[in-house]
Amino acid sequence: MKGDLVYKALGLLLTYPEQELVDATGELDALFDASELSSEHLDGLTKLTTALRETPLLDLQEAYVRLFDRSTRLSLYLYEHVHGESRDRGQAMVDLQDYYKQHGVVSTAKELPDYVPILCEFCSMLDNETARAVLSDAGPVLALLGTRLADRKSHYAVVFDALVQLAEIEVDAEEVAAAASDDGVPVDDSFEALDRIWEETEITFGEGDALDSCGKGRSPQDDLIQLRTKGSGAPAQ
Amino acid sequence: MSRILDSLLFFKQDVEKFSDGYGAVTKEDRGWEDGYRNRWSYDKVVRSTHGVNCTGSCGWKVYVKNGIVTWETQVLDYPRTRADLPNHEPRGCARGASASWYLYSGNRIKTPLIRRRLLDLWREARKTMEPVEAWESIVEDPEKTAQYKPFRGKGGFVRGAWDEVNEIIAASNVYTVKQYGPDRVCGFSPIPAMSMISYSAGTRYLSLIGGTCLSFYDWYADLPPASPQTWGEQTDVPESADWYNSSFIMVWGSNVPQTRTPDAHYLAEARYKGTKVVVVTPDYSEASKFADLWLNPKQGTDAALAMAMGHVILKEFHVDKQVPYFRDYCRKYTDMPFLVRLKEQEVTNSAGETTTRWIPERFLRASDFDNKLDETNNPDWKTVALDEKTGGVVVPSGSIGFRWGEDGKWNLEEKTGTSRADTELQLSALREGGETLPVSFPYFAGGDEVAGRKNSDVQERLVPIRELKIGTEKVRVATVYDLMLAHYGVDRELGDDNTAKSFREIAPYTPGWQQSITGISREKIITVAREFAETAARTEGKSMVIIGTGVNHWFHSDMAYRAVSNMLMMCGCIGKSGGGWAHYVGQEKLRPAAGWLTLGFGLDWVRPPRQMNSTSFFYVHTNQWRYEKIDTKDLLSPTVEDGDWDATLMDYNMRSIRMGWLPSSPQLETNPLQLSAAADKAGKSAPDYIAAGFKDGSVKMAWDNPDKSTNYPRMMFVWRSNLLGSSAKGHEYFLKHLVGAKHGVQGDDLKARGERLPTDVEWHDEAPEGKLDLLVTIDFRMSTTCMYSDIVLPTATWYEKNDLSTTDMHPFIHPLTAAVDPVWEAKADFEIFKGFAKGFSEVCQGHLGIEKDIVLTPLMHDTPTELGQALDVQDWKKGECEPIPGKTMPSVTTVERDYPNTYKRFTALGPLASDLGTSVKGISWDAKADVEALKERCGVVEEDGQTQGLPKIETDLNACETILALSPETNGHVAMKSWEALEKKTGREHQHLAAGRESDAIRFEDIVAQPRKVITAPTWSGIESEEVSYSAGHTNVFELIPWRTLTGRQQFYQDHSWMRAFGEGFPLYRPKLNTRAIRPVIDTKDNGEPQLVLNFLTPHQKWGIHSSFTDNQLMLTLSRGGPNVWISEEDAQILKVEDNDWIEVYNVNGALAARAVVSQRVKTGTAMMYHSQDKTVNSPTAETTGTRGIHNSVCRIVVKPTHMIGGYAQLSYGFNYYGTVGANRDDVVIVRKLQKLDFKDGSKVIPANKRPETAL
Repeated sequence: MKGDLVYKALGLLLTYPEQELVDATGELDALFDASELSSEHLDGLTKLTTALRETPLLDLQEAYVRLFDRSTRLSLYLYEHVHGESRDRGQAMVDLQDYYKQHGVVSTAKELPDYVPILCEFCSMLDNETARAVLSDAGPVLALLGTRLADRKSHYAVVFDALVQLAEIEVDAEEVAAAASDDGVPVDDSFEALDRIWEETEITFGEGDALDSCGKGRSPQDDLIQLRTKGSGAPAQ
Repeated sequence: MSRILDSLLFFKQDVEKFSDGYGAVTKEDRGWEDGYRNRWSYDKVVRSTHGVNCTGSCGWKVYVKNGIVTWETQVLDYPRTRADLPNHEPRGCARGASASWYLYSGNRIKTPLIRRRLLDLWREARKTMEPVEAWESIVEDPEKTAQYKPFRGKGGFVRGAWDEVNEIIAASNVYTVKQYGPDRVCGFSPIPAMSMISYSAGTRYLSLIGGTCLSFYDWYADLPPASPQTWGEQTDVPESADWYNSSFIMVWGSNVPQTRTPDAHYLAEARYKGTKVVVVTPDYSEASKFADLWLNPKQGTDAALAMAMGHVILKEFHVDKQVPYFRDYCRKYTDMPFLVRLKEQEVTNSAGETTTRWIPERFLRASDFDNKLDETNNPDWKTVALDEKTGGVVVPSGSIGFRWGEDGKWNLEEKTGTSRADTELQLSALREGGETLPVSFPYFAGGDEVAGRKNSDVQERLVPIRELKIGTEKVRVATVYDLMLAHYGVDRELGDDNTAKSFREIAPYTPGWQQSITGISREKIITVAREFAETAARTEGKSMVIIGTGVNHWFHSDMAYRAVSNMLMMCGCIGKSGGGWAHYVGQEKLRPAAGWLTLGFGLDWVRPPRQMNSTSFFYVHTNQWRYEKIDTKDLLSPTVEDGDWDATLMDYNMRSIRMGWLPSSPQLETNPLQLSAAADKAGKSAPDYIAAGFKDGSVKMAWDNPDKSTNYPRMMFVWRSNLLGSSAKGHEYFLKHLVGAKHGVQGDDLKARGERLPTDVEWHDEAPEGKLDLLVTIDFRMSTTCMYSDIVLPTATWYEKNDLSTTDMHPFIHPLTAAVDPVWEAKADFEIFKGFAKGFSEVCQGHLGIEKDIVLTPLMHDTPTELGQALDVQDWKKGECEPIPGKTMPSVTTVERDYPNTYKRFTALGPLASDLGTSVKGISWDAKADVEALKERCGVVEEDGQTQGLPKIETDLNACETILALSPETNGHVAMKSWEALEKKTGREHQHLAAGRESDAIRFEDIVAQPRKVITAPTWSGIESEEVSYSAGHTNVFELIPWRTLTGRQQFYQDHSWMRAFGEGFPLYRPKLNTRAIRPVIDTKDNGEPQLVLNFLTPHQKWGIHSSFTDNQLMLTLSRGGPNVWISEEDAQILKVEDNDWIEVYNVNGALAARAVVSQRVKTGTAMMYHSQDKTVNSPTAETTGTRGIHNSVCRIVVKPTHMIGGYAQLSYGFNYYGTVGANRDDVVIVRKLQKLDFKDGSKVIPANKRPETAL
């Protein structure tokens, strides 16, 4: 099993900055240079690694906590954006763990399986095609996080942009922008708009829709890694 | 993918059908179905519950798969109640089901967090200094503290490592103990019953180092002071199943379906059975739907309603008709037959003439008689009555004097005390041709125009009296029964012009009178009162009142509560299954109390612990006293006797603490570790040294000068609590003075307002800001309190630790069980405090060794010191008496602290558990055998040292076993011993109550298998049996165990001189407190929008996880998703506010911004902000203050002097038992539309309520 280390490197950048990570930024830069990343993303990543090197560590850590530990909107746990505090979250994590297991790995960290750096490390162990498929599933959330971070003018935004590029995720820019613009005051807070966000697809049995959608077009993987957001595509957050 | 490409357009599936087309055979891949199949597979199911203060204690089955919690369901294996009685299950509610998902929530605190600015200072100092010196170099340097204290609440956290934060905490604790004194380290955690091990972990640590444990039940205003006043009991109530046994239920200010959801079914079932339900709530609450009759009085006028019902009951069931059951009950179980002295008082009228009037004084005592009526033991504390047959004066057994210093006569048998003669007490002194006397009673609604007629502030009524000759003195006395009928204004055909001749008449306290106060028609009051009493008469007491915060959170809540409990007592309902007083406010019933006390307060190592009443603590240390607006004169009785009554509320609190009534913290100005050496040097014992020092002024109490830098708390732990968010009444004062953060206080202090300053404390023109050097909060989510803390530690949730839970709503003891290990860096509270103990033991080396600590303790309830000053109040400070420790001032004890062994002591059950035994509520028993049994359960410490051979308490499981083994409720052998101990006092046989379960020893694994019903114990006044449901007062009525009051009976009358001074000898209606919170800001802060002054109410909600969490996504989705305030349609019209508009709510205390919920449910004149909406979710800043406010921002606490009484039988201090309460319902706010919406988070400031120009 030989994969692309770039995914793991990008994931590493999203971990809590410690001296070890700062010391490794040179290696990361080299890895990015050798990758298929666009020059725009390379520039952004260089900015980030430079910032990691040049900013006092405690400043980096303070910024990280403010961004990722203190805000559910920027949570690095994918299911926070899919399931929120719904009880589906536990099962989704179990399924993701099983999926890792199917590929012969188990997580040793005191971390949840949907932590983005874990997913990234996992992808680096997969062949590129599978890695892209996995990341694509997480695409809407990754793109959303990138957009939200860009709105906050954060150096970290580029990590998500890079993931989106590498995985060749097709992003509906309008949809993501709309979702991200939910930040702050909702644009449309009418009951109808709220209902649309929370609406669940009706499940019917027997002939018709259910057969159409159950019978085909749904791979087992879809059910295992439930990374797609619900309804209109707007994240639960 | 677009729909058109995803679905079949021209084809349809070739499907074979059956069952008339309802079934179909398909050939597609059905792998997706595995998702559903796997969904219902799991590795294990674990029993746990949710540790919130909601009284639910509901069992949940937690399903775990691959080490991840996947879902939970309600448990359905509770033991049954009994035949013909519905069961307690299924328990749980929507909030419980969603609360569990905090486990993986984005709000979860994953790692220790520390304020980066503090960490910078710490790491810099640690480069050159050892920990304690490093801490000193930071906190003693104002330039350094200015670098972190003002930044509290402004973010700036970094992750910390456990080792490092533990060292900082240890250094701060060691330094504070050494420099200022151990009591400057304090901790706040509420409601041990909801997770007693987590609670105990912190208080055990604090108690071992001598820190201050802060109370919660009184601070939350969940304590009903009327309960200790009336029954000498903190709170004891029926289990919810007993509602079903009731025949008439009043639900009064308690929103049962909303806040007692898992138990509400009993109310529905009782209705099916035919029980009539009357609901009393000002708003159309959810409980109103259960009502056969809904009464909606004006908020805060419940006392008027209850007084009027009491009037009807007394008139029709005690005077016009005399129900034998009622009379018999009142004679045996209440203070009604006891004699009260009448006092002649000189008064000068407005014309300058001096006249006299008679007022009720204190209870007559055996000691008033020359021969002390043959009572040699505590004659001052033995109340007397008249014998029905002989007419002579007798000393009935059972009064508090019999409780201490002698055995066998503290019971409610109808016998005299020492002479043991049979007696039947006389309820009334009324006789043909007997004497009567006009007696004056205070009346506080006099200022109110009641239906066009002003009532005098003193009401004079004729009372039948007896004249006793005591020596040469003639003493006029009356029974409580006769006084009470007069006080209620009941006409007894004595020719009294001042009593009401009909219920329609508008005179205190008739149904006609209450109509203009409450807005309820008199007909309804008369009907309800009649039905209530008639039911009780026919069923011998099966009328019940379920009562809650709607009544209890008012400043004068004790008046309403006492007026309500009077109804129950005069109808013989207390102690009867299906009847009684069902106060459900807070999960107060910690059933295995004896074991918990031992573990939680380190009583196995050091006694006594330092326990502090929080309301007074926060009143002083958040400096709310400096902003006091209440003039004590407004609270005093119009019949107050001569004396030094005109003092500020702060002065009253000072009197109370120096007389040993309430505790204080910090206790003494000098570090108590240094005082012991000083006492030795002076050649005096510690009590003598402190007493002499008090007298000559060489030893000062810290509160004499509370703003001096040595005299306030320096370090605070908060765990299991959102102190600053949920319960910090006077939130902005907390922020300003205790925390030192940006705040929204709008008002000036006393000096700036040019008002009178307290005389008993030193005034500083500049009050300190940021008193705390370190604030540490332990939580699993980022609450408001966490935001302002210096260190935030991640704790285990309810599915990640082992613990115990009990409630008053059901009789089962329930586990919290670790379904999974704590996620991320989280640890169970027990492990966290164990870590602090370890850190402390290491860091203290070279600074603290074995030290002698001088501890002050107030005169405690349920100990002999509750017999303080019996007849009159004397203050040593004024030279009225000598300071005598344990009598006229606090008790003084020297205790030895072994600081380097703190960790060892924390993790082993100390020798005092065996040597001194276990005690609860005034009885003690030997625990040697229980400790030996515990060694078997937990193992013993093997390593060398002082704990070798002692039972281990190294894990939360050991801690659970310790509580279970030492408590009568969970260990049958202990139950038998405890009843035996009580038998000695009462001289009666009680062991039969536990005999059948003598061999039961409930262990943790038992309750994991199934919740277990506790064993009947003397800790509680109800019993566990197959015949009756748990019902408070049962053992008093059926076992003749006295109530723990002055008379030993339920007390209608409060005779303490402070009670009389404030006019509360008998309950009465007092109008809402005028908090004066509106001026001057209403004029100076006008923004041009219409404004309204509304009464601000904070009931418990439906969309928050009880009183702590309003940040759950699912619950927010079901409500407005952020802060909201409910107002009525009428008020909204005046304010030009539409539903969902942003509004501002402000007064002198602070301000908040929220959305308006405009609803017909709300009573005009009120604004309801459901309790505990944190400032962490969608909370814009208020215009007035520029800060984010919460419901507590517009409140300020006011302390009530009658709650400061101590050393007087039932009116004695006990932790969470008696003391000032943090009431806040009397507050008024100004409401107006918000103009600008400013979140101050970088987002744009926009107009708050812009509406579309044109309608659609």
